[in-house]
Amino acid sequence: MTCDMSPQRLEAWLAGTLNDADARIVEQHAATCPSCEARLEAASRLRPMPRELPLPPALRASTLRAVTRRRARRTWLRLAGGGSAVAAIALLLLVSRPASRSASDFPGAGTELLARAHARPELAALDAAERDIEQALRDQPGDVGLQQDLTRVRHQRAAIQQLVLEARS
Amino acid sequence: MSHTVLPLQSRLNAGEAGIDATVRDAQRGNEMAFATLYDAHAGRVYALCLRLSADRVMAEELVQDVFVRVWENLGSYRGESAFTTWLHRVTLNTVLEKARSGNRRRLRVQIAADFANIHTELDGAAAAPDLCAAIDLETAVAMLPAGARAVFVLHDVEGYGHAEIGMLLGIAEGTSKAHLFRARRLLRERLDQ
Repeated sequence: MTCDMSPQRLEAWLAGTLNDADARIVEQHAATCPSCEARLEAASRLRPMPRELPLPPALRASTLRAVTRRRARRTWLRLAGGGSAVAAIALLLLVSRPASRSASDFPGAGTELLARAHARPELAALDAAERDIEQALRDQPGDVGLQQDLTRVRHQRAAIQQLVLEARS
Repeated sequence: MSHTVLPLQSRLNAGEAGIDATVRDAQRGNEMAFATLYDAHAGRVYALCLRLSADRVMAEELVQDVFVRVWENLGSYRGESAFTTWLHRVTLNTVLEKARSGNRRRLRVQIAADFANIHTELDGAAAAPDLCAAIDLETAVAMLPAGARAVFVLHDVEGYGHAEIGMLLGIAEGTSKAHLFRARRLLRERLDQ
C-alpha cells in the first residue's frame, strides 16, 4: 500500500498548525494507513490519566440505599408472585378438616401442625421483607410504592396467620 | 446482618483472590461485603461514568444504577473472569444503554469547577502543578465531542483496542481510530491555550 501523505503534513498535524478540515483529512488517512497511524499514535499520546477519581462524599450512602430499596422491592415481588403458603393452607383446610373432626379426639390438631409447617418459611420471608422495606422507608419516607409494598406484606402475613388460626378450630 | 465476615479489608489487600472471597460473601447477601466491594471499586466506576457522560449528576446516577445492577446480577457472576473485568463491563453497558436511551438531561455542563472540587477534596497531597495539569486534562476531556470522548476514554484511559471499541460503540474500527486522533488533537489544542 502506497502512502501519499507528506511528512510535512503529518508534522503540521502534530504541531497543531492545520485547520480543522485539513486536520480531519490527516486523521481519516491515518485511520487507514498503518505507517501514518504508527507515526501519529506514538507522537500524539497525552499524559496518562488515572483510572480512578475521588468520589463525591454522599454517593456511597445514596448508592447503598438504592441497593437496599431494590432488594426490598424484589423480595416482596417474589413473595407476592408465589402466594404458596396461603394456597397450601387453604387447600389443607378443605381436604383435611372433615376427616380430622370425625376421626380425632383433638379435632384439627394435625391440620394445625401442617398449616404451621406450611406457613413458617413464608412468614419468616415476609418478616425479612418487612424489615427491608422499613429500612428503605427510613431513607425514603415519602416513597408511595414502598408504603404500598409494606401494606401488602402485612396483609399477606395477616391472611396466613388467620388461616393458621382457622386450622386450629 | 446475618453473619459476620472478617477481615474484609485484609482480603482486599490480598488481591484478586481476596476480592473473590468478598464477592462470594456478597453473593450470599452479606451487606458489609457488598459495601466493601463498593469501597474498592467505586472510584474507577465513577471515573468511567463521569468521563463518558461528562456530567457529574448523571455520573452519580449511573454509579447507583451500576451497583444496583451488580447486586441484582451478582449471583450470575461465576468467577470466569476477574471481578474487576466483570464490573467494568457492567459499568460500560450501563453507561452505553443510558446514552442510547436518549434519556440525557444535559450533555456536558460540568467543567472546570466540578473537576477542581473533586480533585481538591481528596487529592490535596498532590503537587500543585500536577494537580492543575490533571484538572486541565479532565476538563478538556469533558469538552470533547461525545464520539471522540468515548473513544479517547476507552482507548487511552481504559486500554481497549479499536476493534473492541468499534463493537461497543457500533462504529467501524477506522472511525474509532479517526475519533482518537481527533480527540488527541483537540485535547492538545485546548491544553496549549
